[in-house]
Amino acid sequence: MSKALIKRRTLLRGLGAASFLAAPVFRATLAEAQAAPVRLIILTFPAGASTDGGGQGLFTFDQMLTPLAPFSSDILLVESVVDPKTASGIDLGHGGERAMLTGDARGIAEDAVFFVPPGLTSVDQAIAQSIGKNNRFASLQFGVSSIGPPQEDGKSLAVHSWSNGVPIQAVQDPATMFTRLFSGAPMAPAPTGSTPADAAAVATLQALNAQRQSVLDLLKAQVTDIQGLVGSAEKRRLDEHLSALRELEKSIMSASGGNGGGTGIVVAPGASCGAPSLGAGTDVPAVSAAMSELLYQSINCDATRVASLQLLHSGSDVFFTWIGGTRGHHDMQHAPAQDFLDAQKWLMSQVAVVIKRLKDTPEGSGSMLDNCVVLVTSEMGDGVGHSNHPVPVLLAGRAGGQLRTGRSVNLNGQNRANLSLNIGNLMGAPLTNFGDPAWVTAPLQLG
Amino acid sequence: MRRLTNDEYRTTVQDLLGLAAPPADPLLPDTRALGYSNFSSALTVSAVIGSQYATMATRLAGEAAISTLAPCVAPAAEADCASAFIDGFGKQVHRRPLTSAEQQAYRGVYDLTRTTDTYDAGIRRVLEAMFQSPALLYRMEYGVGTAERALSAYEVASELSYLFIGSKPDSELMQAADANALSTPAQVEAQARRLLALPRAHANVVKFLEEWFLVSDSAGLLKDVSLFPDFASTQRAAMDASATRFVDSVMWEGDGTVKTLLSSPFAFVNSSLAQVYGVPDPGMGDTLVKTDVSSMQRAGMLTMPLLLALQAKDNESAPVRRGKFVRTRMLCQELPPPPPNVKIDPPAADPNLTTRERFAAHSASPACSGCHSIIDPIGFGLEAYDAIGTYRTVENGRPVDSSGELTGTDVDGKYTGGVELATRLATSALVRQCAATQAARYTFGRDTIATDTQLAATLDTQLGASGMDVREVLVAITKSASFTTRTFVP
Repeated sequence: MSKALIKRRTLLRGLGAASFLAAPVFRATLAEAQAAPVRLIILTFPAGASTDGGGQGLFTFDQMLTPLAPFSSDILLVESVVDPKTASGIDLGHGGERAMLTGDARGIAEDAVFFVPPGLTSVDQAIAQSIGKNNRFASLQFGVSSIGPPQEDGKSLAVHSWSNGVPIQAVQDPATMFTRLFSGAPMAPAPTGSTPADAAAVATLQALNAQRQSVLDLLKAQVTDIQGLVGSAEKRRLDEHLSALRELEKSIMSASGGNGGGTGIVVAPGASCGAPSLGAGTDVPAVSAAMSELLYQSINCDATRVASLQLLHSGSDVFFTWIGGTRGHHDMQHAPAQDFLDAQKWLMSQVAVVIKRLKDTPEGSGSMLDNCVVLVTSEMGDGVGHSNHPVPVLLAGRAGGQLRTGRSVNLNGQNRANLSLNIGNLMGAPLTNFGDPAWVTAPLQLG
Repeated sequence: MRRLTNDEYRTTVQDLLGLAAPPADPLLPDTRALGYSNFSSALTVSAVIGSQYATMATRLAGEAAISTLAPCVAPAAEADCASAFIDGFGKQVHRRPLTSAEQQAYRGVYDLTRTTDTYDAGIRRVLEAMFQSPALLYRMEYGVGTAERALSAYEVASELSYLFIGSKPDSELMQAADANALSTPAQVEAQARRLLALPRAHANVVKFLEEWFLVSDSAGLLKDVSLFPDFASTQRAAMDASATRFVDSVMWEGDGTVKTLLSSPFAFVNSSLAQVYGVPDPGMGDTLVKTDVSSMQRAGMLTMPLLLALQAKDNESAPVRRGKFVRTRMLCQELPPPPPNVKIDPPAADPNLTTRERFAAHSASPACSGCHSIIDPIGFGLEAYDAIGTYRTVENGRPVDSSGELTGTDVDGKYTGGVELATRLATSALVRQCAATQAARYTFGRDTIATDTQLAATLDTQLGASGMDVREVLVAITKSASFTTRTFVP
């Protein structure tokens, strides 16, 4: 098997993790097959990059970006972008992440993530709707967080993705994501049917898949029936439910050799696409390591082309004990000292893990990183005063040669939410009617 | 439309299949809103949980005892057995009779499977569909009519059942729905009281109170290990269990009132909590023992170490958080957000000052004092409890000042210490009404609307004099028009 050219799609047809590890498979130089697609990876972190509310603060290669310094030639530092204050003069603070990712600041100062404007859609979802149809997962949402005690105000800051007003909860448990990525497809690959035994196996598989399809057809019909009865807010929630059922359908189609499961990219001797071993611990470094690797593999295996990872959120209040921390991240950001710099630097070291994996993966004449857009940004600029003037932003990867890296660009106080328009263009999925037209106006001039 | 919480789903499946324990298959955690795990706005079927339901449904269907669930012995025709199973079991799953279209759809799944596979396989495939059916996952609460809709008897049955026992309606409730005998307040009340008397109602009422007081989940709570070395290893878990025992005790061995919840000078203490409570070790190791504690130091929920530890920073008390807790959770008063451009910069720990002295800046700054003058003086009254709720009279070598003041309430005035604060709140009509408001949030899984506030005032006049029995509040809500009607929002 390992010597044959096989379709990556085949990989995702329910081979268990053990099969992946026992029989690593290989990637061809993509140039031989087809141009590599551009993938979007969004990495967010809490509390910003400043202790005094001004300038680039700590977001430089000799401060908290030290772990990313080895990749500076692959990075475009986007300096001096801001989240403008709202009409009522409120600094967005924690809400900056949502404003950036959805191009819409309406409703943020008033409240909470779950009381979102109808239609609110984040950049990852807008792009996934456009380009994600042919991948097993149109998009994936990863999260690293502490479990944290419940908060009164319901601002679940762990949400960083929205589809048509419905929040999409990130997966914070590596085992759940592992199952989703590597055990989700129910069937073994269809045998070729060249022998009588194979033919019987094919018939059994087809019958089984027809049964599964009938279950999904029934469920879709039931959800659609309910949609005919309920109000618009509930209709949108049920749209998410239908999307979930369609995703299950894709795994059946791929198991049946249909068109739903993969991209048809040919892989051959080169780099492996396989399931990572999971860190057993539930502590933040172990979860972060597992999630970083799972995210990398989801891209590497072409399970998705749009992935986001929230590296803690402002409600996480993690202690960073593994680097000597003695107080919660929230307390650190309000009264920053060396421990705050250390914590932010550690978060960037996790970003570096993902970037290094991509860079170490050959693709075409370069690396997989060359064909990615990695957006790294934070909810706010300055944790002390919760101000967003400016906010830290960097882009890594060259988006298939479209983006010139190894430099910085100063945007003189422009709204960072406009960056979503750039990202849409880089992904070949130009965004129209994205966000609030008063908030998102034109792509940034990245040079 | 309300998606079942993970607990509700697991318990429902357990009851449907007669399992010994709720199935433990992984499900994406419920997201909380306003402290509650059952808010409909926060519960969706995402792709992640959708595939988890599918995996779980396949496993459950694969392991189900078909000969018990859907017995079929000759000369019965298999097709008739399948239809009978779909009708009977489907009614329990959907919590209402199936429509003929639904019957046919399930039958279609069975028939397709049966063409290439066994009877058992066909039934299992139907089970796989039922365990992820939207009719199981959602409580529709859709009703009939136009703008103001009366809920169907079956919807009322589900509403009662999930409120009190956290699962699907039992057979008696389904019979009442079949007979359309859940339309009058008296009929609803009778069922509510029957359910409330069941042992399995206990944990559900306790769950409501724990979510109201934000003490339902402390698993992620961390404290500075250099100051509180035993918190993570033993004390946190003991506090968690102790809180549950206390609430359970007041609800099911006591009078169940808000007043008692806020004034009882007893606690459940084990070896690791004796020091926190300042009482002798009861000498039973990890076992929690009901213990009288100092009535000068403790008075129920508000002075409970778990609550105080949750409403604190990792290394010190947090008068602002505690004041906000009393305002929003106990008095149901909304607080405005901080003003624009505020520098949120709490004073760093100064070893020579008390927390209160450092927070004095709030009241000194005009920009801050507008709000903090209504928050901090309440929290200052709880300064005699440190970051894990241990009683103290000295902080950093200086005497603790736990004088406080309530303003903007019906129990206004200066006071000293948590016991006096709790005692005063225990007699507040605002607090009693807030209890009813919180119960409505939990019952309906949504934020407060105008009719809830009116109902809360009514319930206070009915139940307030006897201390506001939480159980009676829940029963009274089930008798209200809000419980059996819905306003349709297009």
